[in-house]
Amino acid sequence: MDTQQYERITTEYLDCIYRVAVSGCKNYADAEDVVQNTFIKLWERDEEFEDEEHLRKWLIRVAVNECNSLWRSAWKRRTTYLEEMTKEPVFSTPERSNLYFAVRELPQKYRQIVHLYYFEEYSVKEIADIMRLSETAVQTRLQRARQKLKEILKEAWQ
Amino acid sequence: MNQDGKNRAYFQETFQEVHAPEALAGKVRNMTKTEAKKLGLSVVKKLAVAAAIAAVLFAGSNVVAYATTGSTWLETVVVHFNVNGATYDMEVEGEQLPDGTVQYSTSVEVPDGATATFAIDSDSEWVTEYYHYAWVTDGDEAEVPRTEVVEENGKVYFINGDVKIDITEDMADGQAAGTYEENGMVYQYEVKEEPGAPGCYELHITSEEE
Repeated sequence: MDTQQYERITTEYLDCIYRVAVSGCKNYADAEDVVQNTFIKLWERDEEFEDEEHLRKWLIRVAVNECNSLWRSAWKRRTTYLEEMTKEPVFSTPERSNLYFAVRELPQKYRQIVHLYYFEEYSVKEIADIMRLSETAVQTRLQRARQKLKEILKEAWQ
Repeated sequence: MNQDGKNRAYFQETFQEVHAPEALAGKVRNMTKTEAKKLGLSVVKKLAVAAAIAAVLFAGSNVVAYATTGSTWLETVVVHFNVNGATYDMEVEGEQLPDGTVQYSTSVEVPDGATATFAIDSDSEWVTEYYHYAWVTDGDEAEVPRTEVVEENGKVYFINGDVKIDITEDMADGQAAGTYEENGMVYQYEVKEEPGAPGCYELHITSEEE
């Protein structure tokens, strides 16, 4: 990987990986760590990617694994409330803000699946592969996430 | 458009407005291969903290009995690390070993040149009375020294890592106490036989500084 390739990849995928990290972490500080660690691993990788889709999936899988390492180790960084507030995104409509915060309310194990399904448009099978879960587990969590979003958002969520 | 499609569109419109903060973007974009190596691979040591608690309090069948009844008496302790001023709290669950003892262990990576300290919290007052820690190079595992009371060939020994003390005579009245030195520190130990539980001992260790 040379510097030019790296720059291209970060420009193309930084927001994508940040969104995956936010979906998988308890707070924004952890999400930022996940993003940095993911791109460190990109530098460390020696093998070429088969194609753009392979690269994208690889980055997402690394980010998902990094999020899971944080949960496994049960680290709790002491961040201040102010630090967290300043990192909340600002949305152009109240409906979008409502959805974002409704998703944030979901348990982490649902949030990432919901993100990979609705935003990244991965199939249940692909999500199972990325997250190393069974397809049944993914399907169940997706259903439960939809139910919870319906409870929170009412008619706004179909 | 079906329901799922509408939800997808709603989701995508929303999350397209989420962007990495500029400060983070700057850090990631400007990270060179050398810096990536430094950040990711420069860890040269870990502070490995191990607290072998129930190993000592419930040496023998008591621990196994608790496990097989499904009682979750395996506590979670919280280890507070401070690495160069950055604080981290880590919850650590006890791990039951095949011999029935319980061990708590964890570690934190410490960048070269940094300092690190830790403290342990638990609901049980005896948890923080003793622990072992070691600096290990990345990739190595710290060994948790065994802290236990064992009976061998009719004798009773207090063991703590390399320290092995014959407390047979002392235990004639069901309890023993003494001191030993390890790594330049002097520790006091106290052993009491659990009433009604032969082969089970209560053990307390404190450093003389406390």
